[in-house]
Amino acid sequence: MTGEAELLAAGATIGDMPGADVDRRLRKLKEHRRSRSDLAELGHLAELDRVELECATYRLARKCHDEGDLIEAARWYGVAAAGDYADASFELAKVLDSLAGLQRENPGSRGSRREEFDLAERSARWYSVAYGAGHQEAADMLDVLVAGHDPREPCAGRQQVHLTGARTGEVCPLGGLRRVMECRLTTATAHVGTCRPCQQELVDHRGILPVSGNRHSLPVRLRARGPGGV
Amino acid sequence: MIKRGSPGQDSGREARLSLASFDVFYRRYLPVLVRFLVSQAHESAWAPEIAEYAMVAACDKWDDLLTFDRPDCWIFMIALRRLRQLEARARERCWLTEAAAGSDGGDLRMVALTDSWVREHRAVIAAVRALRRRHAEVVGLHYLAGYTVDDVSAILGINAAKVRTHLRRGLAAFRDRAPGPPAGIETECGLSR
Repeated sequence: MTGEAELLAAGATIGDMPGADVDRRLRKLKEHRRSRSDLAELGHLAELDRVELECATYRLARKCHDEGDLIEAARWYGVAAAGDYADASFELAKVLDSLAGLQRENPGSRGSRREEFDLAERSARWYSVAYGAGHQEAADMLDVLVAGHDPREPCAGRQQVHLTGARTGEVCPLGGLRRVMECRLTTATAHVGTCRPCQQELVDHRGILPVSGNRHSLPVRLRARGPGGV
Repeated sequence: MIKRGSPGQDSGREARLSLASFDVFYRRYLPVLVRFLVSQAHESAWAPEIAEYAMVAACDKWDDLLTFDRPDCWIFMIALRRLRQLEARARERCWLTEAAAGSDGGDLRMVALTDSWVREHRAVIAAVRALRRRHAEVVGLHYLAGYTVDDVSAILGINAAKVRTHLRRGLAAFRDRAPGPPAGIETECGLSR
């Protein structure tokens, strides 16, 4: 009870301020109101409206969230969270987390993986903000989020893309993409331009850039000299 | 506002009485508002400015305020929103970190020079400031300003269950930070909440 006692002792006298001090502040406030311009008054009222707008956007976000419209919910939670309204940051993080999960399960295009990571990154940022504000469970949810969106793991929902003309069982005469990348750049480029198994391997790797997320599976050339190395 | 020491009791009736005129309302709530804001803002200089901002808003909207159930809750809500907006902007510009927000940083000493209440309860205020934002808000509104959980819920726009959670966590964190109580305080207050 130690903490409560101190807090209540402080609370018991919080309203006791010398009357003269309060009156001086009141006179100052009235003077300030009288002397301010119309523009300043309008600005003040606009700021007050903004406070009410935050409240309205938060309610709208909750409504969208309840109805399952996650994109709209994220949009309106974002407006409320920008002003640190209530638990908007935490709710926004959860919605973005759900959207990233949906993106992972239902990849629509080649850019889906990037969208998923973008959503996950934004979600992680808002989980951090929420944790900083006092939502302790945000830390656990951030851990789950990070574990669920590991760029090194292949996407479970992703369908294998098969190149037209690629024959099953066909093998690269040079021993595969990793070996090819150890050759001179001009040789490697010329080879990949004609070798279907290497092209298939490249597609499976989702190009060169996604491979960079996985340091262990980087072709030797890229690891040793960077993408421009010869 | 609320009878101090027994939050929530007659709060509505007292709030209505304070609406006799703006001056009465101002005299009733300004001290509580300013000092509550000192316990929340990492920049103490913001507290009187934001309190004045909220009071000007109350004066501008006085006719509307008369129709509110709890005009005092409204003014605390406006002040807190203003404070959090300013802090959110500061965080965006990267000059306010969570660590800085929780530190005394010496500026409380400056306020203590002019405000005897701050001087007397400086350790408590510093401990509240060191809490995370929502915890500090809930603890400050409930224990310092004397609002009930439902009132706090209305002011912050979060449900009562979450307010209780923040209150429990905030109080636990406060106990870790706060120094021991002055002698006799515990029995004086008879605290069983």
